[in-house]
Amino acid sequence: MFALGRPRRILIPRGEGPSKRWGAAQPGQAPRPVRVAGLRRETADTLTLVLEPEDGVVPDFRAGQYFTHCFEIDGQVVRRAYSLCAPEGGGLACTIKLVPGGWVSSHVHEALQVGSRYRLLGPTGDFLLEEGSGPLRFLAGGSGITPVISLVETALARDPRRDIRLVYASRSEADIIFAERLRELAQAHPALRLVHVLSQPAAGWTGERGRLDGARIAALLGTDAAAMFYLCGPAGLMEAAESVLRQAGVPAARVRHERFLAAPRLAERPTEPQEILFKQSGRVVTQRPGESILEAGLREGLALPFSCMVGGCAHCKLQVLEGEVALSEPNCLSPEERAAGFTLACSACATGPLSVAA
Amino acid sequence: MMLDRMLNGLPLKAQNQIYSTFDNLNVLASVGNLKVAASMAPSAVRGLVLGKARHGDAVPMVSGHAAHFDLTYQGDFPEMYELYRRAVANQWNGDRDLDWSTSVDPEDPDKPVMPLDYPPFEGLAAKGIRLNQKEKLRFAADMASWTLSQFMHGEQGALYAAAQVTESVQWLDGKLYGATQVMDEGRHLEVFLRYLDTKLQKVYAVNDNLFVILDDLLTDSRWDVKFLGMQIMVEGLALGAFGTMYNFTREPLLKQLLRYVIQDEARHVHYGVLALKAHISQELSEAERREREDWAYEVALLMRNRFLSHELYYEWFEHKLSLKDWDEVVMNAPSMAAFRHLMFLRLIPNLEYIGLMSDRIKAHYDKSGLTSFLGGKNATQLSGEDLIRDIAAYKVEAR
Repeated sequence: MFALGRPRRILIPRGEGPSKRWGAAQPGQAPRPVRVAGLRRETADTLTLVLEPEDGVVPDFRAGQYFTHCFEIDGQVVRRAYSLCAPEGGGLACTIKLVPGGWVSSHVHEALQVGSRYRLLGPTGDFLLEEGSGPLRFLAGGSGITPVISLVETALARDPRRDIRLVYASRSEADIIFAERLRELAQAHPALRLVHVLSQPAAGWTGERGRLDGARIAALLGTDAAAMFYLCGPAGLMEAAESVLRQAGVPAARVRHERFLAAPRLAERPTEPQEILFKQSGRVVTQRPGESILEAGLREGLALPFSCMVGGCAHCKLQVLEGEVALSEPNCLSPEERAAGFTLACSACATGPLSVAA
Repeated sequence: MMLDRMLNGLPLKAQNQIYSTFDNLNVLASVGNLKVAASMAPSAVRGLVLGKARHGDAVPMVSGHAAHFDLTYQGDFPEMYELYRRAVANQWNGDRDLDWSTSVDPEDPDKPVMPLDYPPFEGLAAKGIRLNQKEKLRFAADMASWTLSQFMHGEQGALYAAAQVTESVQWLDGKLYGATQVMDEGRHLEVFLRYLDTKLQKVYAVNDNLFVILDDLLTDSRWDVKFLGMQIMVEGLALGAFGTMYNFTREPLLKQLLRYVIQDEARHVHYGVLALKAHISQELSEAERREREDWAYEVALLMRNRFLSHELYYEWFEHKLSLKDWDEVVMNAPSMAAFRHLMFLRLIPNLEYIGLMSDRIKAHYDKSGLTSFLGGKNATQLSGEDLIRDIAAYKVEAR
């Protein structure tokens, strides 16, 4: 009856090893809590957020990548993807442009303060520097400079004499984001040729001016087929550049682009639960009202790939075998992918019984 | 001294049996107040003498408390309702919000779960026990498993206590809030178990002294004693223990996990303080108030003096060192000082705020060197962020 003399139990045996119910966690799935450590105004309508991870561990990211920022606004979690503007190995910083009437960018500009906290998903994105030492050509328009400056600084840190050309289109001198940082970068690296082009310059501006069409892009950026081209800016600018580069014989594989999608308009979601058959695992999951296909699958423990969760990266792309979905627009799916029956699990929901190849 | 003479010359095993028996008896003898000692005796017998937690798959704990069923839904308690709203808004998801893909090697010297400045290696060396570098890393990893195992056992107790308190509390807003705390405790149990199960893969049995305190709370039929014990005393203990671990660990997943847990604990203590201040000032007679005051004092001392990781002693040093020497080493370890500081930093101002710090009992706390914490901020004046900041600030002073 007395404990004396009984063998003392020290450990609780877990003979079978860790419980299977925990499953294997996928990397990068958990939102990472961060704190706003600094706010830096770049122009009248752009603001750089300097972020510190709460756990003190800066995640590894590649130049040109982005994080999905999960803000809590009016009791809702709202996600937006913003590119990093820091070079590889640097701290976390993102520059965000105020969009007139934009719900999230207004929140960033007006409500965030030093000490504010929210979460990040990622990093993700494949707008990445190619290995090698060949020439690099960058075309940026407006806030498209954010991933581009990260790429340029990283490339120069690796090889300060690398042949780099950067053409940057802005409206006026006051709208040039990172003006001082770019000037210092060009001063310190003679191999970097920096060309600013202003569409509405002030009277004293002596540099390039006017709108950039295909011919001017080709003249300023060059069409060296041995170079790697990186394009990021408004859709019209990128289309003009892609078209002229294609005509000049630059292989498509040597042109990379990063499209900034407008805030998605959420597709109307069903108010009744819907059944989804995930063909690969044979699991049937009930999608709850308000959930996306991805959220329903993850809730049930399916190992579905995903990354940005805002329809921007296509990591969660899956093919619809049977049934209908409602997909939030705009997103990164190409017309070819749509025609082949693909959808984005993060941005789509089943509107009736659904079967998917995942 | 007499005990020292008795032990002298005996084999280690016999020394330990005698020391352990006297030490267990000493737990009750050290409780100065007879009424308090009597109320704790059944739990002490179950935990320390019968060793109920050392065998079997479960222990039944019977409580005689009554569920308070509200018939009129009157009587708002706005501050409690506000806490409820805050708790609902701040629920986190242990599966989604923590990066379980983080690779954890408890013996990794670069990201140690328990750095080598936590275990009492200097004290052990003074007693002639010297571990090599590899042994030190392994011992530190075991100490992390032991500590987190005790957190997990404590959370299981907290889960049942929160459920009992939710039944018996008389304010409806308190019941609403209590339901969120039940969820919080369930989530804490989940994440500590998952961390131990998947990352450290070593789980220690519940410590006898922790078992005694939990058993005492869960079987006491007086709701306010249950409340005082769980929401003020054990939550204070938890803040001290979690805060110390939070400060020492360099492992990012555990650090984030503890951060979330500490922020929840801030709400739990706030709730306890609100409920007890109203109850103690309005409902209790002076004699009843005194009894609670004495009870809190005795439990505070037990918590300060009794968590000495005996399970680690039996696993590592049973044949090399006496249990008495081990207790001395642990009591004097710097990490233990950090734990005591953080525990009493929060506990003493809370006891003062709810009305359990009369001049009579202050004299006792003063003798135990604990009055320096009087006048500090109580739980109604502190957010989860304040707690994290104070915990981190202590690290700077202490190390």
